[in-house]
Amino acid sequence: MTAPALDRRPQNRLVDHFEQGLDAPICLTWELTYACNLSCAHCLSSSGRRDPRELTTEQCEAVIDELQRMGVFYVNIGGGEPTVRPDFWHLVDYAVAHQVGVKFSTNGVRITPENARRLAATDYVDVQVSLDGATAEVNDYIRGPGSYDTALRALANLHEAGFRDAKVSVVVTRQNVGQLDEFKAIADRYGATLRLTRLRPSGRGADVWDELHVLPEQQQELYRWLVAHGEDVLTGDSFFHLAPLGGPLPGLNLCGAGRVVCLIDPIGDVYACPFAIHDEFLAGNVLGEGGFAGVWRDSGLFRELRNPQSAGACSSCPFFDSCRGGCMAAKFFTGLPMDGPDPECVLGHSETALLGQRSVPPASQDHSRPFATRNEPVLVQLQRRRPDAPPVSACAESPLAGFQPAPTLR
Amino acid sequence: MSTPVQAAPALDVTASPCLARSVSVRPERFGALLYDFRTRTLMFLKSPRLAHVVRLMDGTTTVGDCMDRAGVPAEERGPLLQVLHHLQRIRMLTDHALPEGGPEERDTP
Repeated sequence: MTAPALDRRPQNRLVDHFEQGLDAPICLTWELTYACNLSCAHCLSSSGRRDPRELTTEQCEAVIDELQRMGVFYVNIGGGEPTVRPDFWHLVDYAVAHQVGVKFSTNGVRITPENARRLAATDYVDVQVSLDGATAEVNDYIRGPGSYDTALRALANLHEAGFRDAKVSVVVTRQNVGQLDEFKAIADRYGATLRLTRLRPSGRGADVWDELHVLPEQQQELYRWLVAHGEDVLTGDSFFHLAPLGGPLPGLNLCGAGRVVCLIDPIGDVYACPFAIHDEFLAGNVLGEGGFAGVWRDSGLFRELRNPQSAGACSSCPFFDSCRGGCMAAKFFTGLPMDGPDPECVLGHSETALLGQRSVPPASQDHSRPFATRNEPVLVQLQRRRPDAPPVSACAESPLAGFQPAPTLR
Repeated sequence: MSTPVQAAPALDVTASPCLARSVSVRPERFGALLYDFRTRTLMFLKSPRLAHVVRLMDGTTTVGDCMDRAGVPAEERGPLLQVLHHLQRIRMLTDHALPEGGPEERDTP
């Protein structure tokens, strides 16, 4: 991604500029709505129901105007499922007309043949279709029944409409890490590019992280696969914590929170990064006096993040320069200290802390549906087991259950 | 400069390319960011002088002249021409002059 030749001069390291923060984000994630037709078990934003305070069309247009003034090249639009917002296609057109490119993430529910043709007609819109299993069995386990077919139908529609280079966006889990070649084959089949990202313990992901995050030996497998496939596979720079396994992967290898990235949520709240929707990382709101630019430039939280961070417990680690302590959000949501190792530290430096006493922070927002729908994934597999003896149906807790007193004789 | 860069191909100083219409530029303290909307490629120009040269390229002025006007010292010219060659290879730079407007103008569908 970086130009060759000039980056070899140590006094001009880009990373140092990025650590101090830029005047405008390079990459900005904007969750347009908390509404979603799915209820994925690991949803970063605990989405499901729309929030009544979500930004209006006019407020969204004002945000886009501001992004244009700041020179933000593109926004990553997500949710929830952004395409279920009635003004979604209008906002995409509005952004493109204002020189703000759009990449949006979708589960594919509204990528009809007609919408696919509309998308294929412009260079300024990129589509990421989420798929967390190369087979329906693995995918639907965490994304819900039918979601695999929806995603593949969307990819087929895009391909048939002549949309070039869609992205197949995969969150790597314990269950799908063995399917990387199959994912690549699916992407190739639809003329798409594979994008792999890390499972974060954010949102509902906190509830399932222990069950879904990749195991230490799988990290090695994942790292080898990423090295072998190099630039053909996108990673959103999310695996820099694997660098000590053998050297940095392509990308910035830096936590960009509040420095080069941030997130705007559906109600206009600005958070340090897409994986940190929590009061602890709330910098301000786009509806405030200074708008988004004011939050980006002046928020106390962002200024703090742009100061040199303490290496803490990692300062003696020879690999600190390559992983820099890993992901801030992953540490926070697993209850680990911010100036210590990542919960998935490949050298195992967080194992003791994970086993010890830690308090996982409570969620500060939750838009999950209050009741399960028929499309909701069920991670617990119920098993049918024959009871050893017929149950005592009447009042089984009673110490007298099953006791038949003999008739009293007078 | 270190040895590996010596072998890298460089742009000819007599070429007079300009930024492709799909490329947008954002000035930064370290130089500039370039983004190509067609290929969705982000590039970092890691020196203000390099960014200056890229801004001066209009499709008619030669790269040599642009470097003169931006005051690029002789020892920086080799590496800079290699970066420009890379930009040309990934088609962020094109040989064709724009019919009208500056390099920052973009197609909007």
